Amino acid sequence: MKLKRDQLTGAVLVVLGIVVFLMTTTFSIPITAAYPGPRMLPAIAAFGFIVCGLGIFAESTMSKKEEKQFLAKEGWIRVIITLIVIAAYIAGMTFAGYLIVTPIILYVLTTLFAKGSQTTVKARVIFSVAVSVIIYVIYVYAFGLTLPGGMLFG
Amino acid sequence: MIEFMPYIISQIAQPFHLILLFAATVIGLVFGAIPGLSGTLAVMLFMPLTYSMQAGPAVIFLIALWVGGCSGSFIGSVLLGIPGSASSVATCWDGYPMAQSGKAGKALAIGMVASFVGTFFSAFFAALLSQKIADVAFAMGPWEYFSLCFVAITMVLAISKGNMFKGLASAAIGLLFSSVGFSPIDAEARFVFDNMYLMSGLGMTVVLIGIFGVARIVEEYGKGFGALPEVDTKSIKGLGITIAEIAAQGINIIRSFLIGLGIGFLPGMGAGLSNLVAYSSAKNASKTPEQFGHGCPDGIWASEVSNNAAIGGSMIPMAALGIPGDSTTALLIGALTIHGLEMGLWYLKTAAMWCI
Repeated sequence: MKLKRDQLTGAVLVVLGIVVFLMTTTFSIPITAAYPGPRMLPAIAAFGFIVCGLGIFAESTMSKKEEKQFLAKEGWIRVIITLIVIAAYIAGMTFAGYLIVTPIILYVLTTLFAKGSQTTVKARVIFSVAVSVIIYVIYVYAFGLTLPGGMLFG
Repeated sequence: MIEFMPYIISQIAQPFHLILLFAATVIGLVFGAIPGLSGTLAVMLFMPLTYSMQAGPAVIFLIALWVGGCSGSFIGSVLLGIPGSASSVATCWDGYPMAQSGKAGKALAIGMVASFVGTFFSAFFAALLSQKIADVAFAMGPWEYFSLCFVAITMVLAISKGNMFKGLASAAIGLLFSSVGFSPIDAEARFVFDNMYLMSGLGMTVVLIGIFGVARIVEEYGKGFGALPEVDTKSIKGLGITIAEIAAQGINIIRSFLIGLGIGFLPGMGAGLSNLVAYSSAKNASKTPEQFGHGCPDGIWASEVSNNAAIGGSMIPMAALGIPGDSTTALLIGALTIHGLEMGLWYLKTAAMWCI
């Protein structure tokens, strides 16, 4: 029997609810009638996950409607590539800082997004560098904030 | 208030003050429109500029920044589907579909007029009724606040499209996200995993950009970017919205205004909550609730009137009791104190308060 998307969602929510509930039991202050404490809201969230997860799973199992495809296989590949690029940006910024990593990632993303349209390499390079510099100038010199310098440059 | 009118007009009508008002409003609009920035950030960043000003122009500048920021957040919601701040989350749900169907001009016009209506009348009510409404706000306690928050969360059911369980699950996810970090009273570390970045919790801006910005871009790229619709500019005359259309929204406007004003004057609540409650109320009261979420103008009216009405509402506890209505009024109290304007009952009796 093929697992439906909503069945998987429901199962994941139930498991997540159980995990969250187990984590709330590690908080030092217990729930009492006089003082709910820091466990209350996470416990309500865990209860919500379990009930809603069971509800979503049951509804999906009893429903005879075909599920609409959210994304085709090529679409999922594009989504995963984009998420990998964003994760690489976060990791790269930790090591090399904003000014080095941002133009590179912007160029990679604009190249990915530009497939099928007529943009030149030169235009994408100029765009990536210009946007990074403009944001840097605004944040550092106009707002007086700092942007990540990265571990390499302290 | 009438006795202070000559002073108020003399302050606002000065050319330098008018220029400040215009400049601050434009800056606030830009800050509000860009996702990740907000009117609150604009007030925070430009506050040092006001230290060298006198109290009158400083008040004009800071309030104009705040109002501009709150009003400008609908621009990102309509054009990008990414709210400029939490106060325009509900605007996305109908504003962006309207833009996708080529009616961006109309959506922007509705947002603009709704923002004006919400701000103007709420400021008027704040000036007239501060003391009386502040007494009511002061009488509310933890039970009332919890009830309001509970109502807001259960309203998720009302605005969930199709599947009630998925709507409630998303509310539970929101509860979990808000629990990350140190608990406010006991400082118990919740879901921190010894990571210093999680110790201060998940910021609203970060969550908004992640849910609305990154998720939308990744999804659109996965589906393949479609062609942008042609924006219908030929049929737009004047503002792009007629008096008849505004009049047809009368009940929606009044209801959303009262919701925004009411939630705004509760200390700690603000436009982030009022736009969702107003949207949900408008959907429940509508004869065509199935149109909400597909480019229904009622949704934009409800969200934008209420989030701007919360501005005047937030000023009521600030001016009458010296208690901030939301994070921006907390900053404003500090800024106004620097200029020698102490908030509270004494402040109500001075001309400066009416000037705001």
